[in-house]
Amino acid sequence: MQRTLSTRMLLNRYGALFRMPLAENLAEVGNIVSAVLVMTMFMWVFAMLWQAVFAAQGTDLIAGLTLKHTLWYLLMAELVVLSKPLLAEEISDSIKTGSIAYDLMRPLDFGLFHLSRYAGHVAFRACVNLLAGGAVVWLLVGPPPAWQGLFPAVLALMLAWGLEFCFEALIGLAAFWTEDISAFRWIHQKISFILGGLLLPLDFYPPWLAAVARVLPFASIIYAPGRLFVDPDAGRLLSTLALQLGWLVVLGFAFRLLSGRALRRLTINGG
Amino acid sequence: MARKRGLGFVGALWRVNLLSAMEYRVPFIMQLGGMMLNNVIYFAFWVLFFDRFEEVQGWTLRDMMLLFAVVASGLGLAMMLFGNCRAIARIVAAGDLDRYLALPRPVLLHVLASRSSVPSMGDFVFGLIWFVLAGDVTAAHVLRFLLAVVLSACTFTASLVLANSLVFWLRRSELLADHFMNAMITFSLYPGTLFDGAARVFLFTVVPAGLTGALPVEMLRDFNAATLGWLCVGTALLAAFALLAFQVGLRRYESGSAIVARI
Amino acid sequence: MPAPNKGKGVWRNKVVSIRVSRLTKSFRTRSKQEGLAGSWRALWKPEWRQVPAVRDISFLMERGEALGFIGPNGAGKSTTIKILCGILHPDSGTAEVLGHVPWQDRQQLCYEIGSVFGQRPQLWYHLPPVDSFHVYGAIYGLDRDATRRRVDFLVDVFELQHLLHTPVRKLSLGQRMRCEVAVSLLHAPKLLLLDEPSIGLDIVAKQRIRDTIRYMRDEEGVGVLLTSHDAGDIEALCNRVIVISDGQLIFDDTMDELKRRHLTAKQVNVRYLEEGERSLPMAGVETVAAGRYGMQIRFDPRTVGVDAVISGLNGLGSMVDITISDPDLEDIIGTIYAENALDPDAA
Repeated sequence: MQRTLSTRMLLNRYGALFRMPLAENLAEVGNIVSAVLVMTMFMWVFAMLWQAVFAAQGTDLIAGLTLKHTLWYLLMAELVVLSKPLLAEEISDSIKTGSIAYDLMRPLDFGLFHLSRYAGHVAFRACVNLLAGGAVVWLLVGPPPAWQGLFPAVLALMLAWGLEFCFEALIGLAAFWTEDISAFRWIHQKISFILGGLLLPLDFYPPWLAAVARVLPFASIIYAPGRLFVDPDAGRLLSTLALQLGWLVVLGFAFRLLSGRALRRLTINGG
Repeated sequence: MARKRGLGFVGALWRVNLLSAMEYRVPFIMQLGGMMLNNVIYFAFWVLFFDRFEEVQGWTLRDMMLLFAVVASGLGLAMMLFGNCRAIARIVAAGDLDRYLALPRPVLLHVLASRSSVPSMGDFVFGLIWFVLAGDVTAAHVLRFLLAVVLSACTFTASLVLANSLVFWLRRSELLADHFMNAMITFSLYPGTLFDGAARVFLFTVVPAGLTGALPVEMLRDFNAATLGWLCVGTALLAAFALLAFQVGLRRYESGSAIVARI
Repeated sequence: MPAPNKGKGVWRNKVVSIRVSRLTKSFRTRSKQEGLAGSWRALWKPEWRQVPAVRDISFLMERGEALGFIGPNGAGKSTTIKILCGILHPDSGTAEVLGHVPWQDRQQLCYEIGSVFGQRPQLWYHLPPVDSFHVYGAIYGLDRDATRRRVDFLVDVFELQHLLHTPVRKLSLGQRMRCEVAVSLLHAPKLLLLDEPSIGLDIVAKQRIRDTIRYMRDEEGVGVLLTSHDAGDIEALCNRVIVISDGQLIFDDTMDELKRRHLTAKQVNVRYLEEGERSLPMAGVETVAAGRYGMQIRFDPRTVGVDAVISGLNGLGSMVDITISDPDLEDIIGTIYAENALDPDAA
């Protein structure tokens, strides 16, 4: 029997799931301290590297980016990657241990259940990471080049994490078919690092590679929010959001398809 | 009954680790190959970087290859032989040290050798291949490379034991230990010449990644006894600290009964 | 309380295998109020609480004795055993196991004792038990031949012929536990410490484990120290019992004494042919349950005669069935807890 719930009850339910990770993260001082340490460490290494590179080139501008642009861009890129929880691992563990059967017994939508928790984790960690990393970068190279980039960047960040959620969930669900998903996880991670421009803005790539990488979903996740942040304009905002939404439709559909198939498989096997 | 009290049991542990890993053929091969592919893709970043900038403070793509070779093989060796060094915090927090304490062998050695990570075998092999690809495969150079790898593996093991032993005082420092490991790997894989002054001090104390990457490659690029000496002294000091921290911390171990699981 | 005998005489050393005096251990845990607000408060001002696990426990165990530790979850049984294995350091008190202070001579002691922790398997999960046997052989420093001979013997006693080459993950819990106990006897220990060896097992598997442990106890004179919250394990294996509650020792004597002191009530179940009101109004007789066709009563045979009760019951109608029984160990322990005015669940 299908029970219909009011929107308010649904909001209540998934709101509670969203708040849980906030409490979990807050409960451990260690999480916050380590987030600050990691962010500080990364931004500091990047600063060393890029100061050396800009000094060696003897120029203020590489491919249209200054040192300040580059570092604020890299901060945003790291923010995307460092703020997300290990969703693929969580899903594959729940499949391997069989606890996924309990998750499914609750009257919750599988996708929304994980998405609410994911959003809770990301919201908390992103705030901590942004404050910590922002402070470090500010100290090293001064304030962000364009404050008006903040709002468009936040918008693009949310879509980016939506896309990343789909990728991670797809990889986690692969555990239904293979015993171990870690190889998929590393390779997806490294491909998104390279094609998303985590360590080097896509603008510094050879033009042919940059052109290909820009339209792939990895750039929509890592490159787009940061690039929008340091260099906001209406045209870039529109094209970025359009591309992100397009990929979100594709990946969201793939997730629905695969999770439907996986869960049917679970019922056939009897959990 | 006659008892042998040597270190033969470590060999028996390694053997059984390998047997366990090979129980599952497909994941075994996928993890091995996956790790190597993963490293190749990661290296692509530096290919792109040096394609654009040629060199950074005297480092070229070839130095970068040597660096990746030493770090991957060193880390791989450490994780193959002493795979639990990264997991001590988790083992202690879960109360799983009981198993080892109930057996008549040195606890730290027993814990360390009780896990061999499969992907790390991929790392190890990747490092060897990268060394060969970087060129200069003379006997002397190969010997120096192997020495660098062994020292790098010792440093990785010792520094991870040290970082993980914090769990005895902080109780829930598993995440911190994970981040420490990531920091070690991250810092190891940047050109050593990038860091000077305070940064260099930092990389030989707090996060001793200078000992796992930069210094061994310095030794390979321009071999001299002084560099080798510093490397050995640093590694030995770190190992001594790690042993001390674990032994002192062990007295504070609280087993599993007091810690509620479910995180 | 006399101080532990420092200049232990030769004869004492032979007889006593465990000597524990005033052992105390507590853990520090962090408590947190519920919800987000609680987490926030705990972040800035963590509240620590000392939770005593073992309080001032003293006892002796003779060599070859089978001693049972009994008590509810969290009573301090496992903590005591872990201190005796050298896993935990006590806060205060002294202990000596086979002549060693566990937390000082841990390695030496481990060669002479075997241990099974029911909730911490020691077998390699993905491999057949035979591989684990050989690793443990190497860990205990036995050479290959000695290991093989001992394994053959244990396989025989524990009937492991068909399990030896099957990966552990494919064994049932009972089969796995039999292998666990066998592994713990590989190095022919003088003392076996068993922490909840029968947890989660069904009746048949429990029975089998008990039989083999009893066999090894009689055959090799292995001392057995057993904790369990299943009174059946203790009843089947031990000749002496220590009851612990809330970290304190509340009973320490032989099994027979336990029964004599606390088997004060008899329980009677009767069934009648015809329907009717059932009650037996006699002084000293307590009605536990009553139905239309039968009833259950309890009385103390020292104050009320058995014959009087029987004839009283006989007067209520024509009996078709009657059983008179002693309460089982669970009930006895329940009364011990009650006498000590301690709630077993509160620990």
